Amino acid sequence: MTIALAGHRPLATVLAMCLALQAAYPAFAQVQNPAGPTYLPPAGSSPGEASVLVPSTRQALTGDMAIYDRDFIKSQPLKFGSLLNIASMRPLAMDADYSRPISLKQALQYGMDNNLSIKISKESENYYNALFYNYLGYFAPSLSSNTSFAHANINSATNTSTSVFQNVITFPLFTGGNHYLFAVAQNYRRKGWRLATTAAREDELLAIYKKYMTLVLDHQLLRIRLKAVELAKQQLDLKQAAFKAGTATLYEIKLAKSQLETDNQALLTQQVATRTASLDLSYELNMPLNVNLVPDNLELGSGILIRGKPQINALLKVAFENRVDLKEYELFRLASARDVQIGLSNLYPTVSMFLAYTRTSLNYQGNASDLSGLAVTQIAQGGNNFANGTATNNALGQTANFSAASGSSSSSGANTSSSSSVASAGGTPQSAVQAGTSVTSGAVAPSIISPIAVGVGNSSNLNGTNTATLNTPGVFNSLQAGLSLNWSLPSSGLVAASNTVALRTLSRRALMQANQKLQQVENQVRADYTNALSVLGQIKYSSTLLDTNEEALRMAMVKLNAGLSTPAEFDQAKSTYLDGLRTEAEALINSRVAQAQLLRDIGMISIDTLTMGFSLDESVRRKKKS
Amino acid sequence: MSQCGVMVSLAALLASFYILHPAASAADPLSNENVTIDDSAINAIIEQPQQQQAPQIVPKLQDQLAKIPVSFAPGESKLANHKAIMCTVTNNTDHAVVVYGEKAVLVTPHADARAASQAEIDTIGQPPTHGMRLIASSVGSVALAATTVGMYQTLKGKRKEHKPVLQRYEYDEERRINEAEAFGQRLLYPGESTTGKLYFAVGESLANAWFLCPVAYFHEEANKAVVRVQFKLPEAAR
Repeated sequence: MTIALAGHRPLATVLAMCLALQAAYPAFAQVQNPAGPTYLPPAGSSPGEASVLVPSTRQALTGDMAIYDRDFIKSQPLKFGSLLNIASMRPLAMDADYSRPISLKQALQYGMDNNLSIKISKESENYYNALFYNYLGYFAPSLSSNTSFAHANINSATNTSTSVFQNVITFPLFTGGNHYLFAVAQNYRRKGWRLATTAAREDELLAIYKKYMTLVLDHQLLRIRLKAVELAKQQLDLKQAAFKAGTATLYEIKLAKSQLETDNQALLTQQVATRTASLDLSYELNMPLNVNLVPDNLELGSGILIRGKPQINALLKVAFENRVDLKEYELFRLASARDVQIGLSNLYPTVSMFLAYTRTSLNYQGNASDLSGLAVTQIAQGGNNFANGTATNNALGQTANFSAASGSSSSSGANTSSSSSVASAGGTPQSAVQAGTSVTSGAVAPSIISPIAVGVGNSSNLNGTNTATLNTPGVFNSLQAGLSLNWSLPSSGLVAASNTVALRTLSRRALMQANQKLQQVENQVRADYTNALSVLGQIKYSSTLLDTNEEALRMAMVKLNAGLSTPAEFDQAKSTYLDGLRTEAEALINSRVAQAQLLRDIGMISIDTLTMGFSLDESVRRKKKS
Repeated sequence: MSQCGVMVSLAALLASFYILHPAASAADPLSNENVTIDDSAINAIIEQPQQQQAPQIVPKLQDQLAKIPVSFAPGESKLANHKAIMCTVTNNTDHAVVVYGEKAVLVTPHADARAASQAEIDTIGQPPTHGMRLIASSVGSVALAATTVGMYQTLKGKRKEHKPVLQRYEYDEERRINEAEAFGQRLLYPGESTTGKLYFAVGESLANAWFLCPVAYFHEEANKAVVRVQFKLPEAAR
């Protein structure tokens, strides 16, 4: 009998210790929170009801550790402010002016409205939209108006006053197809950029989601660190009490103090990490950075974003149908293919129709015979340069060089080609060679993947019209209408031909880039799928590990209080338990992030799917219905 | 056998006393190693263990409103047809509290006015983004640029170079500043105080106005209440 008793004594001691701890439990709570413990409301309590907690057996055994354990971290938000004496520690004040609670949905919506990357992408989209209308504008007729006045003195005996006024409307009829092709290619490009904006939105949704989850994780880790500090305080208190009772040494008190300081330091580090996570989220949202964002829900439990068990092939099918960047690259490929034809258009002749009204007048005083020596009026009508803007140069004879138009531009540099002028009426056409007139306004056709030096015929459209020297006194009004055909092959067409070959190469490159994107998408989906499955497995692993650690901690606490182990052993158990909590919190967050990444990579990421989840079956059903 | 068990249990209970006593000791046990045992606290626990384990009730926020003082000061209004009021709230409760400034209501003898929403505040100083206002704005700028041959915009840009740094960044920076100033929705941990700007579309005097603002415990929105305060602004601000 005695032997049996002796054999059972340790067990009896442990049981007694458990009973003692159960009795001591409220005292623990008092130690942690002098103002009285604040408990979490039980799950399912109705709103507005007084929130209560009835300690269970396990909670009684482990102090209030269970309140903060993984079940609560997963399913119950902790009243964070009640954990600490906030007035003395102010865990989140730091540099921020104030704190603002924010839900995941609010953060995502705010990001979609204000994120700078999205705004920048949107402006690019607007730019390409404007370029599309720019190219559509080439179909409209060109208008030009010139007026010039001149005064001449001939042989010191005759004074003349001349004026020329001219309005020309030119209608492009055929330009080698490049106006149409420019518009088509640009239409592909603007659609591509619209999808690029959508892709930017999807990227930002994922980025915001990740940063929000990081913030949630950091808050959870902060709570764990707070718990460590509380436990360290408990231990110190216990040791101090034991020391007073003569059952502990001063060394043990010092050890407990060191542990408390270590935990305080870790808490401070975690506070900094939490604030940094908040700053990262604010930056992503383009929010004021002096506001400290706090997740309004720290729940980690129900983190399933992709419901059901979708197979990889189904996910790949969804990805190929929904990834906007795949469509984007497809459109850029089509745009690049049109550029080849634009290059070819330079080899074609151009045809245009024109309507010109001209009014000239010449007055003189002196000898009429001197008028035959009058400097002729030259009007260089070099317009209708659709690709490069309108080049118009006016000049008055040899006596003056008068450039009235400002739009003198050329993609190929100096405008030195010969063109003809139209005069008021009859006579021999005037040659109006603007030799050496440098026209380099720098107005370059805005095009990103546009062909190089794709020009449209620089026809004046006025060749062959009746022109006259301005040496007949009087006023002449003329209205001319005509058709102009111009076919020029600079450098025997070699430039245009080689340019077309170069554009074909670019087109092939675009096709390869689209293929690369396709491979990339499949690669991403397969990798995400594997990762999501692996992270789910990690949750199970960390959960099992935590169960063990929890039990180890419970035993360590019981043994310590029974005098059967050293404080170092308890600290080790505590540290392992806290690490386990952290690992599980990280696993839960990683799982959510992995699913969000998969959602993004199959092209199904949105505010709705990130907040309410996504089901492939439901999606297919909705699609069939629609 | 039974005597041994009783002895062991008594020893354990004695050990529990050692555990208990720091709980009832000084508020800051870290500062004093020479802790004295507070017998009354221990006795209280021993005599009334059930009472200590009784369910803890989170106080209703409605009963804590006196601990959430609110004060006002006139503010500079940036929103057209709105009065700006600087509102200061302090949380003297033991819980983190969320103040929903964006849902505040001003009750005057004549009408009620809701606080301007974040979306309204975000429009301050922003260019029009759609509709007739956008067309009018675009036509106006083009006309101005055409008539001044671009000089207006050139000089405006030049002038901006000499402004303070943050004013050179225009719309987004202005929105961020306005948003940070606005009261919106704020979280106050125990002991914290915060000041923010509220905009109300009221024209008349605020002399007899009442300010109503919802508040709730953080993470417990169901446990909410409404702060009701009468305006006490300087005469000039009314």
